[in-house]
Amino acid sequence: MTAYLVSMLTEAGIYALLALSLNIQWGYTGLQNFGLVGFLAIGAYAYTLPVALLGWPPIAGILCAVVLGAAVAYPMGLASIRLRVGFYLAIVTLGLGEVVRSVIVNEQWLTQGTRGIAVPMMLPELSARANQYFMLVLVLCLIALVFFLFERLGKSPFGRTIEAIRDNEDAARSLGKSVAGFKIRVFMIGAALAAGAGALDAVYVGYLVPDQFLPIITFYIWMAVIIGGSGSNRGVVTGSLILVFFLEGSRFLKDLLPMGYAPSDAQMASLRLMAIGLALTLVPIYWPRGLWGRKEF
Amino acid sequence: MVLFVQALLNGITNGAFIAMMALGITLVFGVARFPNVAHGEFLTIGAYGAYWCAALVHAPLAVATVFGALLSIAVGLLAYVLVFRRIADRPVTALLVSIGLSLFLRGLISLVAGNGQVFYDMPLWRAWRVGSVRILPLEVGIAVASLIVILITHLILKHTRIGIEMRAVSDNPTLARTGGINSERVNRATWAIALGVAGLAGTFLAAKTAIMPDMGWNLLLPAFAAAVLGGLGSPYGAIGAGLILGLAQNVATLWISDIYRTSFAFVVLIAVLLIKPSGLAGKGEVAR
Repeated sequence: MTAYLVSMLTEAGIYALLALSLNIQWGYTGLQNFGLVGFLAIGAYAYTLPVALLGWPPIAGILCAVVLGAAVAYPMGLASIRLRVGFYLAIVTLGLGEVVRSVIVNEQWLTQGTRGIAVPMMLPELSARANQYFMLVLVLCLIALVFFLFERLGKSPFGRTIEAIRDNEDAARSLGKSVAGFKIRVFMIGAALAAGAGALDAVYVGYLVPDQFLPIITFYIWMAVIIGGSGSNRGVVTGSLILVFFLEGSRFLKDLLPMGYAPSDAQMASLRLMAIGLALTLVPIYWPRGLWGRKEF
Repeated sequence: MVLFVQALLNGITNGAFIAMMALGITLVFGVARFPNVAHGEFLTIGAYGAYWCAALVHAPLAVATVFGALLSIAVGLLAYVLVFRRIADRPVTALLVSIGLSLFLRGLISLVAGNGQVFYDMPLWRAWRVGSVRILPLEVGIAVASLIVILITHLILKHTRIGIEMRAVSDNPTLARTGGINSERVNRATWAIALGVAGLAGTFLAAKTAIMPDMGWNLLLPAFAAAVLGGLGSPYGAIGAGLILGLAQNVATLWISDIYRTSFAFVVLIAVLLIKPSGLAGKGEVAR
């Protein structure tokens, strides 16, 4: 039971890091990133390949993930963020997840494709159990750090500027702010954080296959953010807890229903997809602030 | 050379599917100002509608096709009335909501129809041979049917009152309203045309390959790339760009793996945005 709880909390923590990364992009700045899972995958592989195959220390692997995440975000931001209509970023990021996954599947010499690749534990000299606890502590510390940094950032001149850009781009531009420059920087910060979360996710799961990085992950995070409340860091962390509760709860639902009425796994996946879809459809219309949100859509 | 010609021929239907879907996306963008992510699901619904009609009541293929398109229009207009009309003044929300709707519909489709592939009961025709190039009569039929659908859309846009009103609203909504155009009527007509074309595209695509819950979603990125390449909001740009992209995709698979089909569209998308973001036929407003 404890092991299960630790595992779930770690998972919620990784989702929370992703939700914080989306919050700085969407909640603070109004950037629509629908390719979170792409950055997650980039981070996971950027961590695992050097650590598992070249024997780099984990900290170097995490740095590698963060840097690569930001590096991939830069050209994407450059291509789409400078344009006046904000939708281009949404379209481009939507494509990224698919592209990253097809590269992972196809470039087997690098990623071992669908066969997958084992991720070493962070503290190989200790037991698996100790590693589990270590991961939880590490994830919680990182959430605290990121939370603190983002709260500080929100109150800094940089934070004021990006919120001004979100609320009225033309006004910000008329004050001489380089709107595109700020947006690209925020997009890169968020991408770096998402890739870092990917590195942790790789260690947490322990084995990487392309099917871990289905587009639905992105929309899980979106659900956590809009239910928790866009723009509020404590809101999106709460949203991540609700998300894990929902995902695990839907797993238990099957056992609770009487035999014959319980849906099959495939049906359960469909129902989950419908529930997430319904949340993303209805919450922005009828409950735009979510739990703790500071902004209307 | 033979391979190249073969790839071009196969690319025509591929391009027609992308063009039809991009056309719908760009038409809706013209009046509603957001890229509709759920458009792919309307294509899927059309394909399943035609399949159910043909398999359950043994309707002839033509009737089933029309039924599929009507089902797409019905479900899509319902979504418009229930959801998108409420947030007509908030395009950013509309994009997010369209993603939610896309997931919801995909879940619903896979719940009702299962995740497996199903096929139409198509008659088998022997392939024609011209030199060493193989031409499938089915594919020729699909290509011709697609081009007819595109042509009809063109005639509606160009020569009917509602089509001219649609283009007016897309060009300048405020001016169109001042000119006495009923924007609600235009919105519904635009959605209906976009949805009908998507439903037909779904049926044609299903006739060529298979019917599965993800079929529309898989075509979404190429269609977006084509809509951007043609200039968002420009129907003729979308048609031309869709055909070009489809052909280019098929020719490209001579050298790159078929898995990279979508990635190819992605690279085209990025390149267009970097080089000429307003697209081939686009207006300047979207650019820097």
